[in-house]
Amino acid sequence: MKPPRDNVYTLDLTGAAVGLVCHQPPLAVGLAKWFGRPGARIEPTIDVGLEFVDHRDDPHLPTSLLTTKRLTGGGGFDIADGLITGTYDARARTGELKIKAILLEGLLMRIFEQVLYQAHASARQAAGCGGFLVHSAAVIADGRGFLFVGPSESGKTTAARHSSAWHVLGDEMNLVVPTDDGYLLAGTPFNGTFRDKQPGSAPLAGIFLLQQAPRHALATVEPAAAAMALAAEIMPPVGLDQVPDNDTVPTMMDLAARMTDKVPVARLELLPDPGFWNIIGERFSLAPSA
Amino acid sequence: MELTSVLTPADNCPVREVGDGYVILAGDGETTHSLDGLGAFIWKRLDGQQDLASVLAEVVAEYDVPADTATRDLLEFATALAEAGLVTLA
Repeated sequence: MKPPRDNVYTLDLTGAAVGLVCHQPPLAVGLAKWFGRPGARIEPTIDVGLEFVDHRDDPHLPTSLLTTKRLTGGGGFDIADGLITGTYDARARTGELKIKAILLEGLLMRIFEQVLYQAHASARQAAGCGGFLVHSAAVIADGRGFLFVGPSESGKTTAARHSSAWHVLGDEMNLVVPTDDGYLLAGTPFNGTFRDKQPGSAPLAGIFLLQQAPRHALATVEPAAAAMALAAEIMPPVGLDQVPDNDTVPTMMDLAARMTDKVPVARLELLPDPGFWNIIGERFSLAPSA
Repeated sequence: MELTSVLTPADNCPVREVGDGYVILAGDGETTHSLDGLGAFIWKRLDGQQDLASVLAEVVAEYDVPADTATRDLLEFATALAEAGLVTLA
């Protein structure tokens, strides 16, 4: 065990951890504020150096860091024409990121977070453990994990905001980790717009495909349609030194198909109020919340 | 698209069986499509050998559906598959 390092903010990603080595020391404090929790006191699986650099240009801000990423050789990569550049050495489990300082501004930090999804993939590969990120809201209710999945504006934040009777893991990016008898659902430090998220994990008991509607309802979904919807919300498991290839989407389809096979999936039509928990509670025989 | 048409799955379209249906990735590598049980029943028969008339006969025999409705729906479905790039004319 290495001694604690003041300039390192460690992201606990349940089975893997990313140490963000802040070359500008105040950044570690800023990251703790941004993620709403102190850095984890565990040994990082990988270390990634972070440096935010001043710039005079007005960089293009992409909607996806993956589609604008190119490898530059020797473990190097460039995202969005220099917005983020870096290197990663999978053997040494270390990398370096140089990020244009515009991504420190307010919600643009969420673009910066996206490169940490790639660091997560590298850490998982280094740890040799399964698990993947799902664009979702996640809640633990009565000791069971529930995943609320859908594209932007489908109701993830709404579901999180109206789950205060339970333990909300997050409204943006959560972890699903295969276990011997199913899946573990775990929160991550990554941010959506719901800021009262809490760390935690629980066996994954149900998946809901969200749809805003004028009433609360649960509807059955054809398994293939469920898998297709889920696959679209799984983060491509692409590490820092990788770009998507022909196997990336089929891999996401495989992950989604296996989840659909093991975990009940339903379409949840919801209003912006907590009433949807009544029908979930009835379907899953949940004990009343404390 | 006609009942004499013979279709075959397009190359480079990975297929995953999920429940009684399929998820299929289009050739663009990004767009996915899902087929329910009936869609999967038809997909399995688009083997580059059977024409759609033969597929239609199997659909009518398996499912409780009038032949004229099944004909219209099958031709629409086959056209949609072709437009999505998931099948080609054999």
